Amino acid sequence: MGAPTWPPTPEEAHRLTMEEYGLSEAELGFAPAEDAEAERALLSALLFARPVRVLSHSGKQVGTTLAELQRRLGAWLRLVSGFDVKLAASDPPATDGTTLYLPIAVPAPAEPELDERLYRAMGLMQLGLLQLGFLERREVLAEIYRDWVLRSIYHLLAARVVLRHWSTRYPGIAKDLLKIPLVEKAGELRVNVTPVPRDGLPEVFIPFYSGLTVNLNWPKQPPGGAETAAAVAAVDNAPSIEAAKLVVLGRARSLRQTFARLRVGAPPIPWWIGVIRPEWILADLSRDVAYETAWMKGTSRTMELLNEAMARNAKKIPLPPQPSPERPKGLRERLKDRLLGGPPSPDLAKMPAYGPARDEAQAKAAAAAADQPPASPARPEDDGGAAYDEWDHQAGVYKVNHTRVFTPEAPAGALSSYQKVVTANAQAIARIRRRFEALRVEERWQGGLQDGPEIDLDRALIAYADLVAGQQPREDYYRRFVRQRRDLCVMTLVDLTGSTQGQVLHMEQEALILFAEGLRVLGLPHSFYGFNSEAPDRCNLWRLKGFEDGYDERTLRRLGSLRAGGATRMGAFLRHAGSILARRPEGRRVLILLSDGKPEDRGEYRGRYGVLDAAMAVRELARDNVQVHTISLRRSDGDDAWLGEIFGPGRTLSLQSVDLLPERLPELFRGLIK
Amino acid sequence: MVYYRPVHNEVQLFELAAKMRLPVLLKGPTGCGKTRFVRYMAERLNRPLITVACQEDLSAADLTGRFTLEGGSTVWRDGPLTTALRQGAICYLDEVVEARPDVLTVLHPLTDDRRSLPLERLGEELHAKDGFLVVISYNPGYQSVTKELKESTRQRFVSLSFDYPPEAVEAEIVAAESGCTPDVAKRLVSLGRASRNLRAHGLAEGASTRLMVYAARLVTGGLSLPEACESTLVGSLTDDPEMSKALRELIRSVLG
Ligand SMILES: Nc1ncnc2c1ncn2[C@@H]1O[C@H](COP(=O)(O)OP(=O)(O)O)[C@@H](O)[C@H]1O
Ligand SMILES: [Mg+2]
Repeated sequence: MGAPTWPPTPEEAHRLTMEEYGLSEAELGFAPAEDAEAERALLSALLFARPVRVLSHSGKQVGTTLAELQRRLGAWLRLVSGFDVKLAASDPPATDGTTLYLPIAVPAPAEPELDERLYRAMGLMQLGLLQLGFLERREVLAEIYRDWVLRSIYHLLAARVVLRHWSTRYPGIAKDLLKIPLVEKAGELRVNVTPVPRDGLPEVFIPFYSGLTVNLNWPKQPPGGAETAAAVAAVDNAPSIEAAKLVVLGRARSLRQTFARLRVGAPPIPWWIGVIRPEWILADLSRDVAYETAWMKGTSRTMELLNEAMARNAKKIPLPPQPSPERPKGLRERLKDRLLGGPPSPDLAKMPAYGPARDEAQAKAAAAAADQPPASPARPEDDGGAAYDEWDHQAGVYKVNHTRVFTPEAPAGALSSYQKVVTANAQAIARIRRRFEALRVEERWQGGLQDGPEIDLDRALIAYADLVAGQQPREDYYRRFVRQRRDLCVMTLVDLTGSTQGQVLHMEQEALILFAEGLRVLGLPHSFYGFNSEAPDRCNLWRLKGFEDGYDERTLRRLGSLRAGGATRMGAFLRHAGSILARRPEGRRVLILLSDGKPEDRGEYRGRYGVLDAAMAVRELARDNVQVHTISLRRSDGDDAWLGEIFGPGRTLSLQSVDLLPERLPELFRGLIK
Repeated sequence: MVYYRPVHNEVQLFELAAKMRLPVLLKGPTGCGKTRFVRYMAERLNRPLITVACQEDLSAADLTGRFTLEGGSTVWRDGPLTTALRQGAICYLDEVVEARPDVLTVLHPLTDDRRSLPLERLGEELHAKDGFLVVISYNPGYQSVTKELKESTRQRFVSLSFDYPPEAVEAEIVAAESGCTPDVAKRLVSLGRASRNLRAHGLAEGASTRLMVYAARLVTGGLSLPEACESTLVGSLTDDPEMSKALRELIRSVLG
């Protein structure tokens, strides 16, 4: 066999298909020569059409965008499902088990009503697949991962169950869903990401589409589609969700056999139904994900990779066993990064001081910053750092001088990145400022004083009454108009460890700037530092804005260009922050920690060790009169118990989105200022 | 007779606490029936009920009493707490975290074995009459970041946790309180409960049982169901236009 060519010849395509299906022709009982041409054309069209990453919807000709709807769509999905919905963009719709990915925009023309309905339907579909457990059994996921004809059949049948589930629960949703098949732009048929024409589809496929998309030219009961129609009916008539799940899998498997016998490939799926991506859910299929990524990008190695994949399939190598317990946390995150075009996750040992420049965007930002004075060196050698003990809960002792914390000046990026966030959040900033403005009004009548320029009438009356009753009156019946100086300073630490990479960092960046813009108004002494560590003796507390720094251009440039990388050494950061605060003249010192709600990254500071050291550090701070509050962005439910453990009850605030900051931040400060 | 639909064993627990003279703390979200429960228990135990709505400028003297001037002479006026003490009443401090923490320390001697209140002004120590019982309520909602009950106060109370009742019970309450049909109650309750999915995710709180009762009463009064929902479930829950839209869409989804 010579080197594979692209596109494959019909013979080659046929051979690969048979291999992919794991079938022999003897098994099938037919000779390939019989109906060769049409058959192979079909197979090659469905299976080997070069996949294109469809970007049409992010081009200019778009209808409503996800960004316009994201907030209320998320809220609505949460309302109807009670599920902790997170939305992100990807086309076609899919889910990775925690986040729902929806297209960045729907095709033009913009029809707000209709488009929103479409988005809701797409969200419900992904949510349903998740909530009803269609993506929950590993062995099923593995099975449909290897065989994507089966995957498509499974998906189409599961989609019916999902739709029926929502329709029976909510009459309004039922009405909406009935209209979806009539929405022309929703119904484009695709195999993987490749659109396929509706005309000329094999008859066996046609019964799948009743209720999911409409093509008036399709016969209602195509003579060749009896078996498919029976499967669809069986799924529709299943008495319960649990039963339906079994029927879907069983019928999908048997249809799969039928399709192999008929030599047809994967049935295409209406665009709005999306795709199932088992590899997003099964982290241990990472190798295969790499293949698929390369495949989708159409690199020159495509054929090579395909052949390797085929060879593996042909040998029927069993899937890797369950992930080993030591598997580092967050593998799925990293996989997702890779799938969505991010860089490979950084190797901690090789990591430069401040994490690698992430991608083109950052390279560009750096280029934009190049005309600015150069950033301060990431590792100023003159700063000898400060050593701190670390609490080892197992040994029950402090490891003396185990950590060393440095406070380099954070790198300064382009000024425009700060301004961009300000512009994008102008409304939220205005809201925060208004509320902070109200808090700033420190001028008020203070009553109950022993001495003052005016009489506090209420108290005076009480005192007089006491006097008349022969009691010793209290002498606190003066009042004065005070302009109070608040004896309070605030330091904010931002988590810049590797785990924040991506969306969280983005949220932190926004939150930080909202903070800064608000605090400027409040007029309290405050500072911002970012943290990450390379090693126990190299923990960095990056100075974004020190107490002594004003809001000059350089500060803004530092504040606007957060970059993440490195590990967590929470205890060390807290202790050093404490020592900076200890030098402040204010009597009350508050430390606010902005993080992603993850206790750990990797390395020895993992698990209980890190949590308990951090908890100890918080206790040390409390002793030194520093109050610590934490705001965690993106809490996934259930994993925030440790936050309470470190910071104590009532000291943590979990926010799913930066949108909530304008409400919560002033609330927090009102409490502090009181 | 006050209507109260027991949800768990709260009635028995409260009776036991009253018998053992243990002060009671009711925890739960707003509008879930705490106040109603106390009224009901007072009636059931046949004791007077004295309610104090706490707010920030409540002073200790507001609770215990003070001298006032009347016609040129001074007269001692009992505060609600002192009155309750003398009458053997249930003294209910509603939304207790709204009061300044130091004010609540006047409760301390009343909540241990002493069961007495030193009235410095009168130079006497008042002992509680038999039926006297302190009940406080608070809503440990998201605002707990800033408003917390002092540990030394909290630990003096037997606490009963309230939450919104289960769906069927909630529908029963809504129907009973408003006179609406079971079907209307059921739909309102499923709507209201869905709105709680957004608690702390865009809404400060979801719809309370009270809000559902209001909606149901509007329906009984002749308003259509969607209109009633609009002015309660949407209007009263949020001012945020995006959240309002999401809620409206929810109403449409549920009502069809
Ligand atoms: N278990 C219940 N039995 C009867 N009515 C209830 C019950 N729970 C809630 N309600 C209704 O909800 C309304 C609000 O309750 P309320 O006691 O004022 O709430 P809270 O004091 O907890 O804020 C009551 O007026 C009543 O109509
Ligand atoms: Mg109440």
